[in-house]
Amino acid sequence: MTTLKAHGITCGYGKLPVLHDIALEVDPGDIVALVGPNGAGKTTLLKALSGEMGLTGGKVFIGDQDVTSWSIRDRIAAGLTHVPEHRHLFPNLSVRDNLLLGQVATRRKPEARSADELMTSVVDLFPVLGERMKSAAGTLSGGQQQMLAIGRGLMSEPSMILLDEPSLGLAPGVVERLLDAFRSLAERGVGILLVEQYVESALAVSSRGYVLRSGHISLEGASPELLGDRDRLVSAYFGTENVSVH
Amino acid sequence: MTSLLARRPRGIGWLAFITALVFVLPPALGSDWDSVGTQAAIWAMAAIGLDLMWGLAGHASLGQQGFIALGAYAVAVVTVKWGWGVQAALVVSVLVAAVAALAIGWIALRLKEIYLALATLGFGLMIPTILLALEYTGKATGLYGIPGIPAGDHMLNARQLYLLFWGIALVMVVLSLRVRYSMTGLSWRVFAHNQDVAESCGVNTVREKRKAFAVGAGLTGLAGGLYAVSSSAVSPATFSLHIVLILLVAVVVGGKGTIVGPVVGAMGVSVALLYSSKLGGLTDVVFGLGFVLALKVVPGGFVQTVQRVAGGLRPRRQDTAHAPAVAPVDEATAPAAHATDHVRRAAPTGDPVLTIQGVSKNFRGVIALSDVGLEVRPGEIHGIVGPNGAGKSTLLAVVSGLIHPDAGHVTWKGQELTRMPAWRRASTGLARTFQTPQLVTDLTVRENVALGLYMSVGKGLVRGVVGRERARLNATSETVLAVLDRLGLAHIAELECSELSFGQLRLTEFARCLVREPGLLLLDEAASGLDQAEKALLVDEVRKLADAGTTVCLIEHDTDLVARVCDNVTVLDAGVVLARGTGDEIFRNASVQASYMGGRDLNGRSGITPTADAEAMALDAHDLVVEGERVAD
Repeated sequence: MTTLKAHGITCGYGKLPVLHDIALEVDPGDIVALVGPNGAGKTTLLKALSGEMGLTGGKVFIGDQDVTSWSIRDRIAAGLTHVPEHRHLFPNLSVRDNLLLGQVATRRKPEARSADELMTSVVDLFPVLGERMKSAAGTLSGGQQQMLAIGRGLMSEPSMILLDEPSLGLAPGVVERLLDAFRSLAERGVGILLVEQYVESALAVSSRGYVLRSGHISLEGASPELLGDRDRLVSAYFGTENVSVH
Repeated sequence: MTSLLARRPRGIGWLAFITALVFVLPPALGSDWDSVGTQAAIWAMAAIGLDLMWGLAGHASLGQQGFIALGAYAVAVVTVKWGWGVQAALVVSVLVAAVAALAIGWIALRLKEIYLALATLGFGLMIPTILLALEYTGKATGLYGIPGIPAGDHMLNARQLYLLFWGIALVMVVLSLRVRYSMTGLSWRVFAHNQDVAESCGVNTVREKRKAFAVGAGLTGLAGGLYAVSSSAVSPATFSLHIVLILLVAVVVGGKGTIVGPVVGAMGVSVALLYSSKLGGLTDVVFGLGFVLALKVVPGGFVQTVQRVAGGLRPRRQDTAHAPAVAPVDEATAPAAHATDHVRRAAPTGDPVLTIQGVSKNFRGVIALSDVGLEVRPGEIHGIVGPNGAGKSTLLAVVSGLIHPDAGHVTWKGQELTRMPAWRRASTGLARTFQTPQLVTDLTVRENVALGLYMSVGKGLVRGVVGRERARLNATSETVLAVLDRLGLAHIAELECSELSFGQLRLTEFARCLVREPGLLLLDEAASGLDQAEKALLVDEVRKLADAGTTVCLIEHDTDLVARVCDNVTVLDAGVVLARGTGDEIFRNASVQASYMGGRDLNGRSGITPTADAEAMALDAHDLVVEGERVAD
């Protein structure tokens, strides 16, 4: 199992800088929470790590290897998988085919588990996907599509996984199961970077956390400590200049 | 005074550019250009026609040579056979093409884009073949002796004809730009991308598509009529598929959907043809290579490329896209304080205003809804919760008319909605958001929100182009900006939606509903993806709406938010109503906890909390959810 590390990450859209000099580390078996208001750059940071977005500065490492110039596919083959914000499913393909596509970059690896085996573990996590295996992904409900997107991410047997708001649109009971699943993935040594709006539950499930605000890391530390000092957390989240804590 | 859809008349620069080309090209290219340039004006007009149909309204037509042929033959028949004047003949050419388009539209506009394109292709191939067979139009020889345009006692010379045709083309550009920036044009651009959104804002998409198709075909027919006038003879062989190719190249390379782009494209194609025709057998090869190269140099079209480059050169203020991270917080913390102190208002009384009775819906054997009933009182905030796939979004789609139920009834204010088309429901006060925010990504925030005013501003095509509706359209920009300001989106009003964060998209969609002051507001996953400050803002606005009498139905998975905001909650599970009651009751219900919340209660504790005091629970909920409120405490 490998460590995901990045430093000096700077990038943006066109001439507009979004991230400024971000340093971050996800160790094997760690769940790391990335929280912050919308527009802070959370999604952009995940894209920068996954290779979807080019950097204007900084480096990304998988283990000791500098992967900054690697393609998305090569990063997936090296164990880094991204479950993006907008699901990006193939609506006309079946649930099964969508899952199989998750394995495209890794299935030729000698140690790869069989597709059936992997699909069984995805179905264990989201039983409803098992019932709808042959349905077109576009006919699933919104929340079921979210499950499928996460399931597809797991098909590449990632050792590091970037999750962009996995709870979006999921019923609370499913979110609980999902968080349990993340815990058990982490116990198996998978490193997880978790972007969430629910600050408290994200910090509760994680061992470390980063607060991202306006493209800067405004606070980082062990999650229990972050949760313990609410005033500091709140001011990091909203920016001290906006806080009126008495 | 800012206008609704544009701060200043758009396209002035491009109009000047085209006008300059019209005057610069003849001396630059010599006498060859007089006839080719006149032809170019005809291409330009036909390209504008295609751009209205395809670029604005989203329906590619591959049958443009059919409309051109109809227009040309209409002029030929009317002048040569019937002896009418040229001016009257040109009017006939517009009408004939438009009527033909309506006929095709009647048959084919319900088809998906590619099938419609194929249908028009068939039409375009059919017309010259029919003309070839008709004795009346002179079979293969065609008709000749079409009079030119008289100017006093003589006919216009080549240069005068060139200037006249370009004058007509420029007038067409101005009018088409006015269409583009009218409410009608906006609705075309929206349904081209997203029919559901247009329908839910009150746009009768079937009628509007036919309208767009007829207008585009009419202009193309006029181009054909002018061709007949300029060449004084028409024959079937002229109207080949070649015309379609040239028009497609003009529109795509020039800039689809911009009106001015296709005109510039038509000029470019004509200049390219003028030179490549001197190459003999290599003409098509060189032309083809030029096309491929042009797409490489100006991806997405010439006009768009120039605008992008120009936009990149303009200094962009930092706060434009950067402020959203911080700015909403200032505004959000204030309403958040109200939200915390919000006294739970008395449960709305009065007779139910929205009733859903026995609604069932199957999707190819999958039961989405089964005998669902629901009653909502005026001014009530009604929550709909349940596991994923329970049928919540389907139920909203049934109420908003995007899905027709297999059985059951929906009534709103005593009106039977069940069989009413979605667009007509908008006029009864319905507004909705979607589970995934549905916005047209290449329109600005302001334009997307403006569509919400479709019902209250002029929808007429003519009135949108001239007349008083246009003034009313401009006046409504205040409404749009005021709502954007309330939601902390004013600073991104001019950004395209492709540049927004997820939370901003959701709020923009909410704004599109707010501008309409809806009587019944349906919110699908009202707050999911919103951050703490944005949630507080949304909650506050929803409460204000309900206090003012709006009835609200919302789907939301944030159970704390639902418990705090909703007067009543209905739980759906596997397409049936599992439970209903107040928020506090519902989330203490054991079967709801088991099916929906993973056996946990509102505070995430396992098991049931039978004695939990409702007030204490609500307070806990505050603590859990709204970070922003804590800040303001």
